[in-house]
Amino acid sequence: MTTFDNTTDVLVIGSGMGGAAVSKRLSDAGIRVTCLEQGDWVHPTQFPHFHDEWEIEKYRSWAFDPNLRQNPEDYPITGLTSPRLMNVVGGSTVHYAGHWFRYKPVDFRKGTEHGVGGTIDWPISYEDLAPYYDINDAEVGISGLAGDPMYPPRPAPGGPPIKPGKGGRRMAEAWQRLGWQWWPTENAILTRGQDGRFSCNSCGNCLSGCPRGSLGSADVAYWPKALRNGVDLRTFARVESITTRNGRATGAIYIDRLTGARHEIKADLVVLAANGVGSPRLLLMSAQKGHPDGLCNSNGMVGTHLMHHTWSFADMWFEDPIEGYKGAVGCSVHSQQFYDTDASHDFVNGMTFLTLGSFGAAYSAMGTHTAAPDPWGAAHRPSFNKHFGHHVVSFMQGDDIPRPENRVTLDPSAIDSSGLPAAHIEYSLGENDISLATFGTERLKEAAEAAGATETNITGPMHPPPAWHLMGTCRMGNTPDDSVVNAYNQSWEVPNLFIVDGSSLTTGAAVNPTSTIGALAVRCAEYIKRNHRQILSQTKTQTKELSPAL
Amino acid sequence: MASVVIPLEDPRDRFRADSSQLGGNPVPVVFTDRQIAALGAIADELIPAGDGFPAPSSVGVVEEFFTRYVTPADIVVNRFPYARETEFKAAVDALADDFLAANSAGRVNQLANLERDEPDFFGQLRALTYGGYYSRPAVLVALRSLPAGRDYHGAPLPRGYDQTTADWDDLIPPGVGSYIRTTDVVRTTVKARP
Repeated sequence: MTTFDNTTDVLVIGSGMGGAAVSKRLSDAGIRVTCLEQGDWVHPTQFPHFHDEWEIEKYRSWAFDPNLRQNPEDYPITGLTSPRLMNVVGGSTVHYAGHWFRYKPVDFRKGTEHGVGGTIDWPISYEDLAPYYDINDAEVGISGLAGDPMYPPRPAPGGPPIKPGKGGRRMAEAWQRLGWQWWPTENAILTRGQDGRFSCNSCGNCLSGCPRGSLGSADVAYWPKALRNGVDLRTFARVESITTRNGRATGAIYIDRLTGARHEIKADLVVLAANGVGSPRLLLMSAQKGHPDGLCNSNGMVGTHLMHHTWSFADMWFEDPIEGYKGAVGCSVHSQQFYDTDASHDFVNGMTFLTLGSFGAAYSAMGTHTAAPDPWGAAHRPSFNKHFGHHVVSFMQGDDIPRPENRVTLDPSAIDSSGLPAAHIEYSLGENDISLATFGTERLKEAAEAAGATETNITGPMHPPPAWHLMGTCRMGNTPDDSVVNAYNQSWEVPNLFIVDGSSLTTGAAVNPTSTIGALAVRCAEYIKRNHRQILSQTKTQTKELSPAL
Repeated sequence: MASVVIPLEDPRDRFRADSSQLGGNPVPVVFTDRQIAALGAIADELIPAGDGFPAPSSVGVVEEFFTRYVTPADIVVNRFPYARETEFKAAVDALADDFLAANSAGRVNQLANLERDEPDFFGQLRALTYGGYYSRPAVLVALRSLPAGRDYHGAPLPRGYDQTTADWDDLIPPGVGSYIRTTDVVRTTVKARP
């Protein structure tokens, strides 16, 4: 039964980086915010870092893929890819490495540069977004080294870069030997305490969250401040549909998973931030009178232009001890030697080379990131001893082309615990993606040789890719014909419905997306704060040029 | 007079019980002595003792790990390593007599056949053995005898590795490179793919 339950100024759906940043920034200005999150808080005892069994839990309670975790808050996702997402307070940031790259100016102009596939220019520039990157960086807490000449000048990070460990040093030295550019990576990992959160103690298990609060996940970076501001954060609240009337959003119907009861919440304005899979899923589930193909989908673009990045991995082993179980798992050094489109190549776009930690003994025995498990029997001990603590992984993360056929749809053949349909992912690599990843794989081989690796396992272009990044499915664009939202994350079809998460990224760049998602969310919130009354009276979403000023 | 209010059951408990739980299943699977002997013997062939490393069966791999990570028959959701109690026990029972009666060479031969003919079951045995063995405290001690494992302490926290992780020291980035400014972005044509 649907019953009227509450009213609020702004309803935010999803509590990850996008939803958390919007909730905090709006509530700073005294705007009443209610946020609906289908998961719960992660209790401190639910982190695996203190457990002997911390490594097998990477495949179970802390699996990246909700299809493997199969927790009650998760919804099934069908298709070939293995998406990384979490349905808890803080969203998928609770499970990320904290790589904190910004997009570069050229990443906002890929339509001008080549326009391959479904590539378009963003309606905003790097310069438009830069001030909001700065704000979001300060809120989240960043470590790194100022002065990277590969980027426009920006404020220095709050703390020094994370320690490279022997593995990071090994790769930096190899890249230097090859004459490649490299730089210490910025990370959302505290190397100095902030807001009561501890600095990183190099424990080596970032990808299973961080009970010290060192990792800048939204649950610790944003939510304590948002809750102090009075934001009404409702957990176990699974949104079934966004409601509309006369072309405007009126709120949402959600299922209280604790009781099974449906509630309708009324809002003047709705912000959808349920990630690059969850947001299109909810819009498609919200088909209703006047919106027969799903909300915001009159142009058929919801769910399309999905990007994951292209990937190739090189697991490497060395004669001497590397001790990759030490230090932050996240990338300590990276190279962007091949970041920009190069006319001498047979592909557009480029890539970033990164490094990761190695985890522990059980993970090593099971083959680390991509290799086969150590052999059993008499060959086990020599093989294990040669591999454990002697390992480095480097990988390329390439800028994949947004193509309409790569998309998220609904799959009613599978349902979540509330009976709502699964999301379905269709994704394939295009010719440009394969050429780019093939080139990157050759460079990985060169780097492994320069590093002195005695053994390697190199995947080549990965298909299906590890769907670590979920981008582009409600993209930002210049006109109602080329996108789902405008320059301020305002949906073209419903003026008081904003979408701000990985889905709104127009291009994927060759870097991790969370920093840009947070910056867009801060910018979106500032726009709503400044133009609240005008937005409420709008009957049509305008282009950037005709919209109220930020 | 004040009355004592007994709180209602917290419905969150139900969801937590249905979630994947750290440390495996709260109620361990109970194996027969025969099954424990067979699983211990299998684990001992997968990771032979020696070079300072103990036998898996001597460090509680079966009793402390297999029992928690084989999914009990009454649990609906089957998670990694996807070993269900009923089928797993049946598979162990099917090989236990021959395996326990064989010498080491015979056991190796049986395991090779199992790896070829029943890869899912073999994969479960290997994952449970590797995952369990390298998390046992006695094995962590052995790992510290390796040059690459001298500081290794298993569970990442509370200690971390801040005191022993290599730092930047004299490693300085080259400070080279540049970026394309917004106003400098132009149409770029790349060469045709072969």
